[in-house]
Order: sequence, then C-alpha cells, then structure tokens
Amino acid sequence: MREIEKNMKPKELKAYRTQLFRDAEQWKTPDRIPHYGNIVTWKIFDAGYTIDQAMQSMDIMKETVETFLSKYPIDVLIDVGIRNQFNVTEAFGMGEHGYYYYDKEVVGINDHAYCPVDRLMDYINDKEKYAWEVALPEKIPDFYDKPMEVWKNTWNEYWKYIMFILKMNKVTGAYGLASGAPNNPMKGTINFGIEEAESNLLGIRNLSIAARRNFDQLKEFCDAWNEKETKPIIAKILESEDGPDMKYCFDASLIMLSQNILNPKQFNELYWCYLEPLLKAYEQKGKCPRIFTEGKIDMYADHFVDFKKGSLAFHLENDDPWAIREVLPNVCIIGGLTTALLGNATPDECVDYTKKLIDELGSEGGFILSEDKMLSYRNDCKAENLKAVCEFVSNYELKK
Amino acid sequence: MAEEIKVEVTETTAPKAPVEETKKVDWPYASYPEGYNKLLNKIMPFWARPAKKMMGALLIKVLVDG
Repeated sequence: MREIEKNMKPKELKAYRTQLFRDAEQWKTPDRIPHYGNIVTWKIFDAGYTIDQAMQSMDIMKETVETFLSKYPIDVLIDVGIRNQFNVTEAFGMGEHGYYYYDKEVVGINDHAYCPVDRLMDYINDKEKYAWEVALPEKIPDFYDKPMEVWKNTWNEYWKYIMFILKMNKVTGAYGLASGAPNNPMKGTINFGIEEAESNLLGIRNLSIAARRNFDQLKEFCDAWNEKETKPIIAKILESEDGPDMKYCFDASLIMLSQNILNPKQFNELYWCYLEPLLKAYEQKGKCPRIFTEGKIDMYADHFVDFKKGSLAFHLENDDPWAIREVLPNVCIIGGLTTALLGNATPDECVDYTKKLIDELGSEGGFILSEDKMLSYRNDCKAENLKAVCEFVSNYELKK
Repeated sequence: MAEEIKVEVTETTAPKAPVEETKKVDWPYASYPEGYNKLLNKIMPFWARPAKKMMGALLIKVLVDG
C-alpha cells in the first residue's frame, strides 16, 4: 500500500477508495486502479481453516475476514463472511433440504426449484404467501411438525446472524473497506423475473423448456414482475438526487446469468425490454450500476453500445476483457484476473499480466481490477499470487 | 460462479408430492398472513414486534433460500 493511504484513518481511506472506483467508472484516470475483491470462501482456507469450521463458528469466520484484510490491501470485498446463514437453517433442522450445503472443502447449492410454470403467477401475486403456504411446506417435509421450541431457536439464531452482520460492518470499517453498492432491498442485488425463474423458481432446465413450450406464461410472469418489482425501483431512481451516491462504489448491483440460455428473441422479450428502462434511468440520473455478467455477455453487446460513458460497469466472467473493450468502448470493465492464472501461474507472471491489463485497459479510466470467478475453492488461487497482485496494484500509480 | 452445483435434476413440471392436507389443517399457523403473524408473535420478543413485517420477510427468505 502507498504511504499516503497507510497514513489515512479508516473513514478517510474508505472515502478515498470509493473515489478511486468512481473515477474509474467515470473514465477519469484514478490515482491507482482499484481492486474489487471477488473473494468468497477461499479466504477461509488461506486463514488455515476448513469450510465447515468457519460455517459453524462466527468467531472463526470473523477471524478469517480479519486475517484476509490484514494480508491483502483490497478495496472492496464481495463477501465479508455473512453470505451463508447456516446457523439459522441448522437451528430449523433443514439438513439436506437447505438451499446451500457444505463440507470441509465446498459450499455448494442444492438442486432446487420452487414452482412449476403454471404456478409462477401465484408466486408473483404474493411472494410471502407462496413461500409460507406452498414453497416451505413442499421444501421441508416436516414443516408442519416443527415444535415451537425449534421456531424459537431459529429466531434466536436469526437474531445472532443479524448481530453478526452488524459486527462485520464494524470489522470491515476498521480496515477502511469501501462499500460495493446499496442493498435492494435484502440480498444486495436487483433481480429480474427471468433471473428469479432461472435461479430459484424453475431452474435452468425447466426454464429452457418453458421458454419454448410455455413462452406466453413466462411472458405474463415477467410482465407482472416488471410491474411489481422493477417499475417501483425505476420510480425511486428517478426521484433520487442526480449523480452518484458517494457512500458506495456503485449505485446498484445486478447479476445477469440467464442471457446464456436465451436466444435473441427470448432475450429481447423476456429480459431486455425490462432491463433497458432500468439502465436508462440510472444513465439519466448520472449513476453507474455494476452488472456481474455471469457466463458471457458478448453475444448481446450491441444492446449496450448507446449508453453514455460512466453509466455502466460490467464485471466480466468468461468474456475476454480486450474483446469487450473493442465492442463496448463506453462500458467500464471490472475483471481481468482469472482463477486459471491465480491458481497456476507464478507471482511474477501474475504481476506482469496485471500490469498489462492496467496499461492497456485502465490508463485513462474505465477499468477496475477483479477476479473473474468468486474465489471459493482452495485451488482457485495461490496466496503468494494474490499477495503479489495486491502489492503491485496498490502501489502502481497512474500518470495523469 | 465458482460454487459447486449438484447435477441431479428435479422435474418440477411433474406433479409434486402433495403436502398432507390434514397436517396443514391441524397446524394453527398454516395460513398467510393470519397464521404466519400469529406464529411470529409467539417467537419474536415483544421489543422486536414493531419490525415484524421486515424481520418476518427476511426470516422467510432465509428459510427459503438461505
């Protein structure tokens, strides 16, 4: 870390880091390139623990985050140890019926799908009613048999979890870590009907089938989602003050995944017609959302060419950053570091590649360094590689 | 995402095993929002109840996809 940053107090450092992100997004040359840490459970291994140990102890999870932030001068961290609420689901006795599962080496997602196509409208008409009366009883075979004691324990663990979130906010604040984006409203990202259908309600397989066999039902659901969920967000954006919210590095966080299984007609009619007005609202207000473009986005790059510089930032997963810069010279790129590189190369090779990324993509703004995948597994990264990259990027000043 | 996803596939378009109706009828908290609110009143401490709407919604979310 540069001396100037070492001498800053945490709040000052947080504001400085936020400004680095905002400069990069606005295509102004930042003092140095900011590093958005796309690092999830890998930090548990790096701190000398296994996944099960950290998931079963909030103290250990806190220690892993502190160890990580002490070792690596990263500017934003996508997960500060609060992503998985196993204490709550275990108190409820979810077992194999939980959303996530874990063992010593892995946190994974159990196969799940809460809705057949013909019940999508029941879901969107009242999500909580559907969850309470349909999804939970179907998901948990003994849902109606849970004694009151179990419910009370679950509440107590849920409360502990909320307290843990607040504690971790303080912990990360002490390191001057910047905040990624405002929550909307609970899980941190803005979602669309088609994404919810893919990730939770139908699943990839059933969505793929439904997009062909039940297009009209899907469209009806996506329209209803747009009315209930997306339009109120757009109204709030348009009512907000002009310009970026400087409490955060980005004005919103979105995840795009379902474009990978949709053909162009499906993408336009089930996704883009709802996404475009939202992005235009951010653009109109001088704000910049971060979109995690999971899988690839290059096949739909032409949809984004007309947005003003400073109004979009794509966090790339499998796309080549140089190719995206070529077709979308208006979009700030987040990414560049691959797990293949971090897990297999030498520290010198990692630093050389990082320097090339910065010199070719970021010397005039428009680039933020990050990892392409959420670093989750032990072999996703070598500690010496991440250390070398962090030391380099946190000291490499850009010429203005 | 680098998270591992199990590959078994659930055919959700097929009819699901019906939830036992008798159990549902017997359970005093099965309806939404009446039964649900009654249950929250039983498990939430008095001081937390003003935030019941938000806290309850979050708890449901954690149970569904937490």
